[in-house]
Amino acid sequence: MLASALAGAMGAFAFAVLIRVPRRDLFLAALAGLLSGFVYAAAGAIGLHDIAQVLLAALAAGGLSEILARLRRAPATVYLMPGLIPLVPGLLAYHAMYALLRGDYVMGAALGVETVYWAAAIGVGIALVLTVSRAVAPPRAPAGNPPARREQ
Amino acid sequence: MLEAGAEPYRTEEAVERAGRGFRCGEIQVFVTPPGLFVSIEGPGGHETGVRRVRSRATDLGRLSSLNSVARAAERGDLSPQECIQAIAGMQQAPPPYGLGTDLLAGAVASSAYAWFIGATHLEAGLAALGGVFTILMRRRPAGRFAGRFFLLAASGFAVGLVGIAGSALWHQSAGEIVAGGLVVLVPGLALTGVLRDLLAGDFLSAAAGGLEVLTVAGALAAGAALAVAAGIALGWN
Repeated sequence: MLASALAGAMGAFAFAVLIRVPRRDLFLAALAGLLSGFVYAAAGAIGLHDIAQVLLAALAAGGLSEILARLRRAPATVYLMPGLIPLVPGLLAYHAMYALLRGDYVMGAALGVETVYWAAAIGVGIALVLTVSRAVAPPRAPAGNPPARREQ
Repeated sequence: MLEAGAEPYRTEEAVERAGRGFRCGEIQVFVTPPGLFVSIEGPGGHETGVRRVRSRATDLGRLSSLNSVARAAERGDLSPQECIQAIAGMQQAPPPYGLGTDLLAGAVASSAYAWFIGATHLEAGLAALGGVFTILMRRRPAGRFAGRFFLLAASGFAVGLVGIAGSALWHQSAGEIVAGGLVVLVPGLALTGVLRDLLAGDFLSAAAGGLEVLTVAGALAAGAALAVAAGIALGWN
């Protein structure tokens, strides 16, 4: 569990450099990776299903990012993107591709659907955090598309 | 902002904020990933502009600064002239991280991800090699999308070869190596942008962004598949 959290933090920190997160925010981005790695592993340790592990980890990373964004007045994406890196279903996608190449279409399709399902769990997690955070603590300026005032 | 990888909804918000700050009358803005339309209707007349966005890279530092400029403009802290100066200054600023840092970050990101998905140390090392190569490819200016597609597929192919070599020479599992090597190219920002667009009801942006995500993933998979298929043809399994 500790190893997963550390790997998550390392991956998040390095990925944050690659997507040009400013230096002062790199450690906070790593914190998001630490949290998602830890939650993913902890949820696995108590016997939850893969998809539930991903969903919980995405919720945790999303929640932390929204809090950090408000504290630091930066877009939540700055912390969210690195935080989600450990959750990418890369290995599943590879196995799906490999099965298709070997002509095992049933297995390939099954793994492909699982990959999509996995990615959807990340998406649902972020979407939940986003809607809840906008409802509970909206950013200072109004969201959405308010009609512009006409100044004379 | 779009060039820095911003999501369409964020770009729309920024234009509206700046418009309010400059008191330029009624402003309508419509943003999609490949370009935006802005129309301003004020006491002095009516003006509409279109901007195409062809190159996209993820630069969250720049995105964050541009966002702050739009907020400052909304509060009236910056005049249009000052905004243009601030944005020009950002474009001239040197990149925050050099090639060496990038390569190291690619190696660390790839191996850390590989460890996370349960790779051995040798697999993680090979994934790091793949990550370094991927970063070298990513830094090349790709121009239009066809060039980017080609570079993505080439990265997938190269990392696929590393994976097969690791598997054939040292009995490592290729999956961890390939997934680790390619993780730095995941179109994460585009994917979350799609989600936010969907939630905001901007279905056109969401559809365009969704196709971008699928195409990027497809290019990576196609490249890697080519390498694995070559391996299988040569007797590897």
